[in-house]
Amino acid sequence: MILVSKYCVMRRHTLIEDGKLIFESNPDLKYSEFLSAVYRNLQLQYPKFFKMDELSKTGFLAAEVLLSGRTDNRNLQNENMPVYMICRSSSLETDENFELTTGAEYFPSPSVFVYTLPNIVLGEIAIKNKLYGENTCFVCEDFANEIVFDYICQGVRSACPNEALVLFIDQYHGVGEVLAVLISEQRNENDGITGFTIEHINELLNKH
Amino acid sequence: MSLVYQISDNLISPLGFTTLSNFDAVVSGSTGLKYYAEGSLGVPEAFCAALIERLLLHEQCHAAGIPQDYTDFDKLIILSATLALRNTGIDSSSDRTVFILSTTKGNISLLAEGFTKGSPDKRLFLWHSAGLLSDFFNNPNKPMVVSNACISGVSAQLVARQLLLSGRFDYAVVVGADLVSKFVVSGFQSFKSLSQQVCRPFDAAREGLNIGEAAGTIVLGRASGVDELPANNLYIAGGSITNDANHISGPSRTAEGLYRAIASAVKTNNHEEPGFICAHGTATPYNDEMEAIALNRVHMQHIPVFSLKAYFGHTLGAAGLIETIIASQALRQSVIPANAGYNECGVTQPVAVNTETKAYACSSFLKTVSGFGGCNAAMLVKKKEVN
Repeated sequence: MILVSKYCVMRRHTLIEDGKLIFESNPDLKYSEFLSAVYRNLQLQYPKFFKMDELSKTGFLAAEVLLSGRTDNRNLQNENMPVYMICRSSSLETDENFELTTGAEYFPSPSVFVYTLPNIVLGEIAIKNKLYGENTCFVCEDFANEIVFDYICQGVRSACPNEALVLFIDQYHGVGEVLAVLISEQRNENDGITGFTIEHINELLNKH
Repeated sequence: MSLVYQISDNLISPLGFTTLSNFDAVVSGSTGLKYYAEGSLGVPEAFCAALIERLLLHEQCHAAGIPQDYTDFDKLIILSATLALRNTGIDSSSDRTVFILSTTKGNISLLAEGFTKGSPDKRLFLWHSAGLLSDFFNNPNKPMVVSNACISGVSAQLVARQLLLSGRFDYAVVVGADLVSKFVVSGFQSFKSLSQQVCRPFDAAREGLNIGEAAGTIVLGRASGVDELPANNLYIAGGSITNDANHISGPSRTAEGLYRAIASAVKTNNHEEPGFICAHGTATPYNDEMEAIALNRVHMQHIPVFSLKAYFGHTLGAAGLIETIIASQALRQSVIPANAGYNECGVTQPVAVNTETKAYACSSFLKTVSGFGGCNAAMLVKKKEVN
């Protein structure tokens, strides 16, 4: 069975790891300010973070919570681990920002344009964590897409070792949220926090 | 062992509305690319692009009964799927058939009509287009969109393959499309990656890519083994998606991701060499160099290779599909298309660029793609041999 071995939920004001609140910001912070506060709280030293758009920052930080430390520990390193994402709004916020640079005042910028693709989040995570495996981005109206779940479960079963990182992520108009889960194939249901099913994932999203 | 094979396909581009008309145009050396002077599409600089004639598109869509109030993008994907499914006898309304849409920017041109932040036009969401597509065919499954930058078209085929092999579905209709807009042209121009002339993949004088419009559909099915397939049928024999883990907008100098993707795609076939390689070949200096390095690292530098970008331009989310369709037709007809625009080797590690369209019989090809975000994909397509 495919189980969640570790998870992280991040929304405006709160960051939760495996059910525990690990950071809470001042509720007056804008989402962009909240992202910077999380970055500081995690004591990251990664200047590229500040070049990212809010969607990438959101996914990147959640992946850091789950993966940081792994690359220092060779036993836990799995450079072929697949990373999947399911998002609703794709890169629409950055699309709008880029569109505004192509009007009467014409100054399109490559550093904005590159983020007009949702899968850049996966690229950022792959670069930071040296992950060379599959990365696939699905755009769905809601996270509860059983076909995508099926695909991911098969991906984990054929990965070696049998684990994957999955991001349920959305960011638009100053509001972002992510549930990142590390999943793996296990024989015993006690070897994970919860199952990797639509019901369990919805439960995690609603609980926090 | 179960395998996933091609049942039918369709390709829509400036070169035609069917696979065969496009293939014949490629064989005769035509290109859909044209020069557009400054001011075209509202873009201040001149560019070269392959644009689908809207009047023709609307005529075809009208004949196919596609609602007139749909956007051009939504019409295009429905038309391509309609033409691909025609005469297949496949029940598109069955829950055993899945539709998968591959696109990068969908209806992005709607943004130019004005927008209010926070209340977006629903048609901008890629899943909305996928929903219109499955609704048109009364398909009950939840819409699926794969949006993996320029590898989307191969990604979507590999996702479909996995879903078919699992037994959940009997048929997959994989549709890929992207249109050219001021948004996309100005973005690539800001990267200085567009050429104002027809692009020249792998050539010493290449100076960048051209953007193109296209839609491609491949209908896939599952068979219990090669023996069950009729002769000349093509099937996906292997495939892999990887990341360079290097840079979000530049390819890896060691071609790490593409190297790994190709190595993995051929590994499951006892490292059997493909007959030819249909490369990504965008004609940017960095991409083609990276691909040459990857092909050398997997020792495939002697295998004939071509890019189709000088015929269609870079069609983004459609590229992986339409190029698979043309390469598949080439494999069936025992022809290899020329890498148009090539004179002199312009990559540091030599590759066997195919310079003329000619008869060429073989039993498999490799399709490769690479994209922003550091993603790469490779897929091996084989032909069932005549016994």
